[in-house]
Amino acid sequence: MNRAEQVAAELKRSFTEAPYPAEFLEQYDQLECFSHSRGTETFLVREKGSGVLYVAKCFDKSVCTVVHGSEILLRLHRDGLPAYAASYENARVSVTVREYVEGTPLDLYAEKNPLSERQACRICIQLCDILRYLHGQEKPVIHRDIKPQNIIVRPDGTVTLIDFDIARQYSDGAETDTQFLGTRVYAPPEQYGFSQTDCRADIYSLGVLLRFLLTGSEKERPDKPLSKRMKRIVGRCTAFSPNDRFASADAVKRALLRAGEQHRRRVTLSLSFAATALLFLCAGFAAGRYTSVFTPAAAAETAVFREPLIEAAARAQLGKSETEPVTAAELETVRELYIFGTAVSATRDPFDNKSTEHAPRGGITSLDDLKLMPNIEELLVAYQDLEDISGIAALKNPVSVGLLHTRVSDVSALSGKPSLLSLNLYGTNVSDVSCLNSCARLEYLELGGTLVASPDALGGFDTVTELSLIGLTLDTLDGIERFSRLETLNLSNAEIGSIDTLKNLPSLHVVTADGELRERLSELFAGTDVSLVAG
Amino acid sequence: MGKSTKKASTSTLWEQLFKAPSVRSYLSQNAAGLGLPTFAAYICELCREKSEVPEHIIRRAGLERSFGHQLFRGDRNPSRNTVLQLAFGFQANVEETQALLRHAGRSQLYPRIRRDAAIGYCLENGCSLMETQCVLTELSLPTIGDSAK
Repeated sequence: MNRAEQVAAELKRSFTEAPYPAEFLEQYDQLECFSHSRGTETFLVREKGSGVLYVAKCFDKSVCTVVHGSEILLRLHRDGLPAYAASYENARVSVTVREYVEGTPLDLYAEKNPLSERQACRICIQLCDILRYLHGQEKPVIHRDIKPQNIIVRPDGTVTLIDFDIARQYSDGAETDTQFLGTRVYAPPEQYGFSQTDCRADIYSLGVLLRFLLTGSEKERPDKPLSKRMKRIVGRCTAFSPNDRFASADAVKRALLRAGEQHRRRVTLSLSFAATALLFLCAGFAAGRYTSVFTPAAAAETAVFREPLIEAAARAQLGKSETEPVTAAELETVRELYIFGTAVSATRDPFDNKSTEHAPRGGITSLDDLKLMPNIEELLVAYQDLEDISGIAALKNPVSVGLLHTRVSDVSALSGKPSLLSLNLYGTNVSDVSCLNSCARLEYLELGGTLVASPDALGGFDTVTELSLIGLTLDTLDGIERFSRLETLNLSNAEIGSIDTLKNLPSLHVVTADGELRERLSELFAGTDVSLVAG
Repeated sequence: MGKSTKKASTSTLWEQLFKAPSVRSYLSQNAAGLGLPTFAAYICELCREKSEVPEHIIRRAGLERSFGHQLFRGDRNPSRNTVLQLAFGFQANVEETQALLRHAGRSQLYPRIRRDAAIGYCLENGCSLMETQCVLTELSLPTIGDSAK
């Protein structure tokens, strides 16, 4: 018997029977313990055979009597929430297995990357979307433990809300919560037993979280004042009485978006105030009168659209029926527009994860109607015969643009849009995006299924952290080092010649690829921390 | 360091694993002054303390050479598996391994996980990385570096 066999035999003899359900141990290898406290343990586990990672939460039945997480997770299906996988039980322990979300907990993330007001708002806006989904369930789901440790920031910057152990469904009958659960500093007064918690409990925690992201402290501190606009939002989220809080996550999102817009406007205004004032004076004198400079009547006029689908999507945003008039002033308030084939929606949710599904094409051929809605920040126009997107130039501050499965080949209308963070051109006829180099904040770029055929046509974005080249054929990735901050690269179904330059990307963290390319990549990244994921 | 003669039973090991965090707070407090991330500063200091050179540690840890040096320079953040490999490189005992994991911000060894208990036992008994991998295979447990994290 060699030494290893000897040690293994000693260990076998000393292992006591594990308390966990046998079926669970047959199915998964426990890899590490993320956290443990009295009666609960959270493990990273790996499914035997498939090698897929999951998170398993184990509850000691003699200590924990309330276990809500698994039944609630089972019914939730949305990006930003971990998918339920399985549950197991024996006399001593009950186990819930859920999707493992790759990323960094928000507390560590914020510690490593001090967040600007804009970044903090973007994170909270994503959480608002997740909460809108949870609170919008037939029986609203209240998370009740929203805190940085329960929010995972994925490598692509999107966030996932985890840990539904103390989540509960709002029941109309109950007047107060029966027991205190949650993290005290993030918990609203009613969670201490004043009344039953409803959706506004999560709004309270969201306010505390926003304060933490902006100041590094959950509690108000005189040495770390908030800006006026953020103070208003945090204050309203964390009001003692639920009645004084924002009524919904959607309302918080709108307030955050408005605050961002006001901030941008103020910066622009303060920079150009003198010049603008002078211009107005000159224009006034040249015209011989001031009154015609403003035309308030125009704002009340009924707007006329060219594209019926764009009109329908705008009406969805404004909550207007087909027959109600829509004025120009109302259209100026539209911030999002979602059109997918012949369908429109007020939110993005129905169209998430549908980029590769086939959909019947809508008839949009022009985006000129966007001139009516210059404040749109998030635009999705998918599955259209659209070729000309020049109308998009009318958007003042587009943040996220999706044009997937359109016939667009020229994207120069987006050049010089410094606000653009995310651009999805999946399945378009685009062959060159180097004209977008002036989009100085672009972080996510989807070029899957496009006609891009050379690395030069990719441009050079030192701001992009996530790039997708799904299905492209490229002789070489020489020049990819221009994407110096790239963290995530998707090469699923791609045929790539030389890949050596990928080694020069210092932040590269996750690469998705399959087949022979994946094998070559695994050689290239042997011994590094770059994770390879199957496409 | 080498503890090939010392045998630790798993129960002793469990007690050790549950020990309160101790030692080496000096480095975590002073890392900022050195201009290095805590973990890199910590392993550099550990080298000096043990009169070792990173080259030897990297070799015993079975790490690719340039990757290993990147860790010592602070250019890379190690995964948990990499920290465990380094623990074998340093011929660390359980307590030192827990300190390494703590400085890297990774989960500590947890004795209720059989794989962790086996790794801890091997470290405590002076097994090399290769021997430990054999022990893990023998026990049908994932080897170090085999898991995706």
